[in-house]
Amino acid sequence: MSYIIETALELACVYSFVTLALFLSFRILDIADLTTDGCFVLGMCVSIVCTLNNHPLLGILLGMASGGLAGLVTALLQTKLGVPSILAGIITNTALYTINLMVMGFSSNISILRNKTIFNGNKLILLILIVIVVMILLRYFLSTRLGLSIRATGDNIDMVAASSINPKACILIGLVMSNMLTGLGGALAGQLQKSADINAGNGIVTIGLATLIIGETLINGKKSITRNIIACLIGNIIYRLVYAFILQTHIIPIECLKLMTALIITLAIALPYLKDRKKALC
Amino acid sequence: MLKIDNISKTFSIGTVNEKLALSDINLDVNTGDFITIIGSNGAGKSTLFNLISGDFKLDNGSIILDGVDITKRCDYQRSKYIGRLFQDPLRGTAPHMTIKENLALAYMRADKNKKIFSCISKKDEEFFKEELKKLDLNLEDRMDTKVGLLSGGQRQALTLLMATIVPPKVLLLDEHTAALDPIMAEKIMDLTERIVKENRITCLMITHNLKMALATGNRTLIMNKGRIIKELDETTKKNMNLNELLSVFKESLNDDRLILEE
Repeated sequence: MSYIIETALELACVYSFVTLALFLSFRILDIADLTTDGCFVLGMCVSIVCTLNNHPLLGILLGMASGGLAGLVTALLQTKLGVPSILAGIITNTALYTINLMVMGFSSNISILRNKTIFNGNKLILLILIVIVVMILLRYFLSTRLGLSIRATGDNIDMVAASSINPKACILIGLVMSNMLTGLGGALAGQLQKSADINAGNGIVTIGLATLIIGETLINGKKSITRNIIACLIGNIIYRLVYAFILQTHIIPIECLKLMTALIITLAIALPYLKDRKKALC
Repeated sequence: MLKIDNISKTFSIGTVNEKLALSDINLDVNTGDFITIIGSNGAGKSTLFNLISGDFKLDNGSIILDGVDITKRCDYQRSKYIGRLFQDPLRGTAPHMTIKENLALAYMRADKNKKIFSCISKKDEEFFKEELKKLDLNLEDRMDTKVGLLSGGQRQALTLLMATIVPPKVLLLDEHTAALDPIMAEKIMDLTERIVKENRITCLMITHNLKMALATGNRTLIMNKGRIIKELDETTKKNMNLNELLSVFKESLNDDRLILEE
């Protein structure tokens, strides 16, 4: 039982990077960035290929950097070529499928059973440490002048230009950072599971959004930035525990997992809405 | 100081919606001028402001600020020297950020505040507090309040402070009191005049309030159909009463339909 909970918590930590990335793009920048799925796998592939060559730590860093690069492409599509934000993400995501296959040498799946990963000792403690450090850094960043500029870009873009800050640069930096977080999540997930799979990112963006909303609802996350960042981790923990419970008890047959995911997500998004509806007139 | 040289702008060129918004505008603004601009809706007043602040490209002509040709610079580069307020009090502030954070962003226009990885210092905070006190709206005690919770008047006062916290060379006021209640409008107008005077900011103000246009500033322009059709200098303004201005206004517009307020 404790093994199951531990695994659930490990996954929660890894996927909370995706949630933090979506918090940055969806909540702070107010941009629907759909690069996530491909970006996650990119981080994973880069990390695994590096680990195969006995550079696990470099793998994490490069996985993160490659994610940032994917974000840069999405951002440039938006700011330089006028592609609408949702489409820009989808286009990059599509391109990334091929890129990811290339990184893995055109095989759809690589495993690393013998190579050393960054997880030598207790995986969970290391993961929790990384998550906490990243969360603190992100919180600090969002109160710096650059962070404030990025927040204002998602809040009132006119006001950013009026403060002699280039709003397009803010969008670019924000998206690069957001996708770096996704890449980091992918890189850690790869080494944790000792494999990379071309389909590992399917539906990540949906789960990321669901966990963001679950966390926000549970601890009233929109009240402050700090709360909102913490909510990203809380949401993931809840989601993974519920998931583990379903898997263990078999109250739902294993074949119906995807359907179940969709249901959990719908519930998570609908509940706060329905709660609000009670106060409205019609 | 601000030299607007023969600028024109036509929207939707080559379509059925083609509209000449400004044609061959020339304007020499001297340092310290406070110019009020009146004119019917669609006369090109706001377009003139949009062109000065860099929202659109000019069709032809040039804009020179303090001897520097800024015609090709984009809006965020110009906003370092050109401040602007709109009629809509919501346009100048970020609603989900606190008063302090909004001010900090505006304060970044000063070069010394460009260190992007630095946070708001205690010194900055004290400075913001002092500046907020001058608005006399008790906002200095609410520095951590989200701006979205303030009233329209409070937000416009904050926007005014943000636009002038690093004094710009030119301040453009686009009917910035029109959406406020009469008492708040008067207060904002007083604040504007005080801040402009204290910092010797050159100012252009669009208004539909002829009384305000006459009482404020040292020059008044009347615009119609994309042109400046009449200019009143300081002495002319002083010797004119509201009715005279009204008749000058009507005369200069000829048969144009107008909605005027006292």
